[in-house]
Amino acid sequence: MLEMLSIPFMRQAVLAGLILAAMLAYLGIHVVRRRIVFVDLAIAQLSAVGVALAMLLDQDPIGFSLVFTMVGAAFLSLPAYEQRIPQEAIMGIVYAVASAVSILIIAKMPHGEADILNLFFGNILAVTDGQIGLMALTFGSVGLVHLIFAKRLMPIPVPTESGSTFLFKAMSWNLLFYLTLAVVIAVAIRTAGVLLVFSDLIIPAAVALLFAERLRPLVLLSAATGVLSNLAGLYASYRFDFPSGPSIVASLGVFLALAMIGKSVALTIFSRSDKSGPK
Amino acid sequence: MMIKAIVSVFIGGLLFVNPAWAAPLQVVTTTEDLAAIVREVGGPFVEVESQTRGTQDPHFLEARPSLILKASRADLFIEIGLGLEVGWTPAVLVAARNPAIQPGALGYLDVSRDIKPLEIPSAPVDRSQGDVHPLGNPHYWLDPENGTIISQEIARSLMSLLPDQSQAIDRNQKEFVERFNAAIVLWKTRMKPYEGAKVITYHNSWTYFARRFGLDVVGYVEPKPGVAPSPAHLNQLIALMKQEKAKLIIMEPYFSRSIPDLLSRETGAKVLVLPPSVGGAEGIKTYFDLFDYLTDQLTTALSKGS
Amino acid sequence: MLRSIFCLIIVLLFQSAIEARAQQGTGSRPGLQGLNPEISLDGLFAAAYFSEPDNLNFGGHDPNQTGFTLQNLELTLGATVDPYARADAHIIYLIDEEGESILEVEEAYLTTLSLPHRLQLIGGQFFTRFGRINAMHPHAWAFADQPVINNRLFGPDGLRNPGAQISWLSPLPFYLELTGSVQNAGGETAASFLSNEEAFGETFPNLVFEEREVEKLEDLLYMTRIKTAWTVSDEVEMVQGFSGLFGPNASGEDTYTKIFGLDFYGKWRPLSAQKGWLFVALQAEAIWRRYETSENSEDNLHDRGLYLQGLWGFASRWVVGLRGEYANGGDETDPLGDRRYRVSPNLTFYPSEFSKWRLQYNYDLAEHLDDKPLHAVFLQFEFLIGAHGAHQF
Repeated sequence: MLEMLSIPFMRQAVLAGLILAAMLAYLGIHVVRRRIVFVDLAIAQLSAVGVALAMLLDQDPIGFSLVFTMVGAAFLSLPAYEQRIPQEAIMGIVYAVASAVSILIIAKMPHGEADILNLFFGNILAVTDGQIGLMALTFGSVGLVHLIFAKRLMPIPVPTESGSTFLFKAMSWNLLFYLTLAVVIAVAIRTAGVLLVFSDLIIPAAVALLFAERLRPLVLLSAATGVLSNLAGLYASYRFDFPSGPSIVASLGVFLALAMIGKSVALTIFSRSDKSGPK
Repeated sequence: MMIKAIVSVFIGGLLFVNPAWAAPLQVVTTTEDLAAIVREVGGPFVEVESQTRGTQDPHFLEARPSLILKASRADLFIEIGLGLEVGWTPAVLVAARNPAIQPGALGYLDVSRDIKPLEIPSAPVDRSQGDVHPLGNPHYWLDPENGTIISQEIARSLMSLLPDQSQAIDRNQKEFVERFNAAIVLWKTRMKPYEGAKVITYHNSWTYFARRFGLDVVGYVEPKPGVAPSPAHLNQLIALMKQEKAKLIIMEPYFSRSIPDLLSRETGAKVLVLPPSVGGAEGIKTYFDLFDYLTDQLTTALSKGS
Repeated sequence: MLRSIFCLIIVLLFQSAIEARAQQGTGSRPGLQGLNPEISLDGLFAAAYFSEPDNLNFGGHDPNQTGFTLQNLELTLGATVDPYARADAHIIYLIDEEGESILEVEEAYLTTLSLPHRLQLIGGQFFTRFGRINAMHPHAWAFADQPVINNRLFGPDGLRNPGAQISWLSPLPFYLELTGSVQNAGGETAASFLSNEEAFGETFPNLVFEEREVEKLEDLLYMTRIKTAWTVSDEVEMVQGFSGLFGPNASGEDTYTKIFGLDFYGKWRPLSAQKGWLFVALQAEAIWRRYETSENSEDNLHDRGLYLQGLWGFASRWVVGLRGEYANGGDETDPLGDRRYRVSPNLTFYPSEFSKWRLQYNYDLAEHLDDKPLHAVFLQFEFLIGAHGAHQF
């Protein structure tokens, strides 16, 4: 396992993987708890539109996608039509339209081809020091914001009744959360790709939610799952010569499966020994 | 699912496409004259934009967001210096967040560093003398022989930023100087019959042009730079113009015509509106065009007078 | 006393910096001109007449009595420290309405010049960049007095405190800037937040001051701002912004204040403008505040207000202006919380860029005075000596 770390790009990939796993695992708790699982798909697609536009106009892809994603996330945070149209439908629509728009943009580009299959899952092996630095900087800032305003961001916001006296009552904290999510996704996509970001968000959180309820154990468990499965996935890709992205997603899946099995086994054992006292 | 895959894949691919071709160097200049010379020297290797239009007075601009934005993307920032743009360029540079173009960096060029300025004040200056420029008169681009020096400095900057294109840039610059020197001879010949012609100018901006082409500037509409003329000054000026038989009142398009028209009525001298920069009038697209236009206008106006 | 010593130290530091540069030789080459620090002194005075001795001009730099007011004597020092940063300081001296001399360090901060990714960091003591007017110094205002809503929400001196600010210029093809700052929430310059006992008593006479410690990071003052600019043409440019403030306030153990603002500025200036004339400029800001006084959200105070000002440079060196204002805090009897209207036409003459004369008339209607019209006339005068950098657009 350790000889993998003697190779420079593996070291960088591991570092990037750790940073990504930790940040996305924490945000994943939020995302799952707020039941906005499809939101990050929609947000990821919006950031892809931003990147496509940037390439078309020969501008900086990260900057573009950051602004695009943040604007999109801001709109998605508005609870306006929640009562009438379910949120999943809105997310699905946003995803579809964003995909269509990005296809239209690609159609206009003189050169848009690249390593297609390899990049569906991002290319964590090609991560540069600059990208790692940017991730550390933005994730650190987002983490700081979440740390400072933890009290405000954690409770699940209830859809506000119409006619609140002050226009920006609880919307501002909801908006802040969506903006931080947008920033993280936009930066993470560069390295990890849409599917890996989605998996890193949802799966560790799901594993954690199987076993814990309070915030601190949830975050720790989720982060642990994310970090371990990223490491395992990278090791598997190194050892068995698989592409890295899919390996990580697969290992996340394996962890989830193990967790689910473990939980049902534990449930069975504990319910049987209910009357025999603590172990 | 298939569409999602294709789309995400395309997007992922785009994320990693880094343009392998060299993008042209982004150059931002403060005036159109500098931009015109950059185009001559840099050719296809540069994309240049001027922050002011030829019809604008470059002294008084504001550090607008559009200027800041252009500067933030520039690889090379060029200014005339000698205090011409001191009212706004420093503010633009601070707000541009572009380390490449900060004074001292390779991407910053103050063209005046190799120019010999005229009218450096010999005594201490203060604002009672109006908008005086303590480092000398900054309107030096109106002397075509300074154009050669400007092109040399620009070439040097471009070569340090585009080392692979050094040879081509050097060639461009030498070619430009050859063509330009030939043109200078033509312009001087054109203006020769009118050497010594007496004129007044609105603002003290034609010193270098006058020196090169033999015009004698006997007075200014502004009693001091940037100060509007008072009746006493106008009286003195009219007397001076009659005494010297001044033929022309030269003014830039962004000054008000009312005083020059008044002077014209009183003394019989003609008002001639001359653009001080490339782009200042229809058809002036290059540095060559500028002097073509100026010498043409002057010779026409002066020939009618006599 | 301590403040004066502090100011003196700052001046001495700059003085030594100047001397150090002078010893290196200033050179006559224009490139080196940028190395010399800029020092300037700006004096702002007003002669005023109020129709009632109890006037409603609560701004710290407003003309405050029938008679003469030294609104602001501002010493500005600015220098590029090195290719990486720039330092600026503003020290002000003024005489308040009780005739007390006040010497304050208004701003003293460092600005980075060379951070990557189009970022810029500011650290030190500075005006919070909320909206447009709060961060502008009084001598740069287009009117002689502080807008009502700014005075009510940010206090007579504006909102300023030590802290840090980071801003990012996006790489999009139009101007888009995101700014975030964190500053102390206490002190007399943070009236809507932790404030201090004296300032609190003046702003909220009906509430009880709660001495609060800064226990967690949440108890600092946070600001975010998004600013965009739209260049319509070479002659017309517009700037729009949205700002939000969040911080603890002093009326409870766990109470917070939120302030939001929208701002707009548009200027038309033809290419043939001589020294900047002619021009037309429009500026407006609308600000809301939600001030929690207890756990119960029904006790919250809501304030809102706006100002709209137009300027027309109709002839060389002359500007005519008109400003209309509205503010309402929902408390009919409180001079700082009632419903208020104010209209102010003015006329300004600039003999040069370094001096100005301004004549302004205020027409004030305040609910707590039963809408009896109050009148005020100001004659303002400003001089500027030394090198002063350009103001923000």
